[in-house]
Amino acid sequence: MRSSLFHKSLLILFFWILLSPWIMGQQKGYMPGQSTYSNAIFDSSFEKALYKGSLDISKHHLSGLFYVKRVSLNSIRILFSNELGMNFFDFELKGDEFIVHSCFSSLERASLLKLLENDFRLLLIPDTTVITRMTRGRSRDPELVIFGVKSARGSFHYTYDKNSGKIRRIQTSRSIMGRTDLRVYGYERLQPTKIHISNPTIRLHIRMTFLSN
Amino acid sequence: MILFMFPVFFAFSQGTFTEIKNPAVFKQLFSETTRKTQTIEASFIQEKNLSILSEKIVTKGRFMFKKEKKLRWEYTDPFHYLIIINNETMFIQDEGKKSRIDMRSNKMFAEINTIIMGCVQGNLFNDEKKFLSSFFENSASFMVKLKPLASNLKEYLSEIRICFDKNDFSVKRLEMHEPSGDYTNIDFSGNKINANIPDEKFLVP
Repeated sequence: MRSSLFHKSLLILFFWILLSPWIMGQQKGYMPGQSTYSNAIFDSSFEKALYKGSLDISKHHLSGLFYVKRVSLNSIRILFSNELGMNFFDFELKGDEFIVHSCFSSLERASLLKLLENDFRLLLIPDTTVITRMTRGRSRDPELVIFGVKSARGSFHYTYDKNSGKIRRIQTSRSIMGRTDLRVYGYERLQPTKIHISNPTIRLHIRMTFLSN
Repeated sequence: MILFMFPVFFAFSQGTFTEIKNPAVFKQLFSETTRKTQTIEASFIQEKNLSILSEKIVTKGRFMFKKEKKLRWEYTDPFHYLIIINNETMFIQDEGKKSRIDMRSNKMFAEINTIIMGCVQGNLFNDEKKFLSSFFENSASFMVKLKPLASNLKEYLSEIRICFDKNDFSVKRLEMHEPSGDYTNIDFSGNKINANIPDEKFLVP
């Protein structure tokens, strides 16, 4: 009995060793950030973009222009102003830092700022932290590939366009603040043409339509 | 920041502005002219200057004003955005989204309305409770500097500057300075005073 179990274990180990390069190779090929699929919506060559957009929170609707600019290798500024030019907010994502350069007082609440930081980080800064677990999900659309990724940043579902390898959607796992669902549509050179970030729990919607560089 | 702002200021001003010693004369002349003004129509170029990012965001459009409280403010480039104010109603069309606001029940929009109307007509300086005004002139223009006194306004505006053509007192430029150092200039051109503007232009759908 013991001998049989030992042989079975040996057999499993043998097959695992034999097949592991193939299994690992498949995983590696699909890993976000590897050659096949990009882990960035705005990659390192992105410089600046102007978007027309809106921010809806609960019953409040703000519309205007989003201006996104890379100010250094590890720093991106995002500014949202109304059509007449007055700033709603001016944020900077610099490495792990989140700098609030200016913010309309009615938006300056710690929980909302944290949520906006997370949402803009998801959109603008690729996850380069160590991936601890990755699973391939099922997609009904044959043109799309889905991966469940757990990294030091959190747990996410990445949806990719199979042909281009570009990100189409990122969903975060459920948290106290609810789930963030980020969708991007179409890419014009270095940036997506449409972006929709939603957080249904607190009824936050950010919509952006590309205007120019 | 100051060095960056000055070339813009002087390029427009055609000479250094000096403070008007007796603003009562200016106010009198202004009041007489605006009393005769029934409509204003102009094109505008809006330039938002992002001081720290050294960038400009340029938008263009057209506006129409008809006494007493009718305004059509329309952005046409690089996006379409329309604001119509007809007495106490504000209508906004942002791409496909349409909003209708009754300003009698919305203090914030009522205040925005007062500022927009005051800027377009140039008579914002009459509101001494909300703004501290100072008056300047050069060979071609008058300029009024307005510092907001109310804390809610101070939060997003540190100063408004309105420049008028000396010949007809029409608003040539509007500058809105923010506490962050960013500022927005709106330059008006092709001004038509008292041209016939049909009421349909201000109809709220």
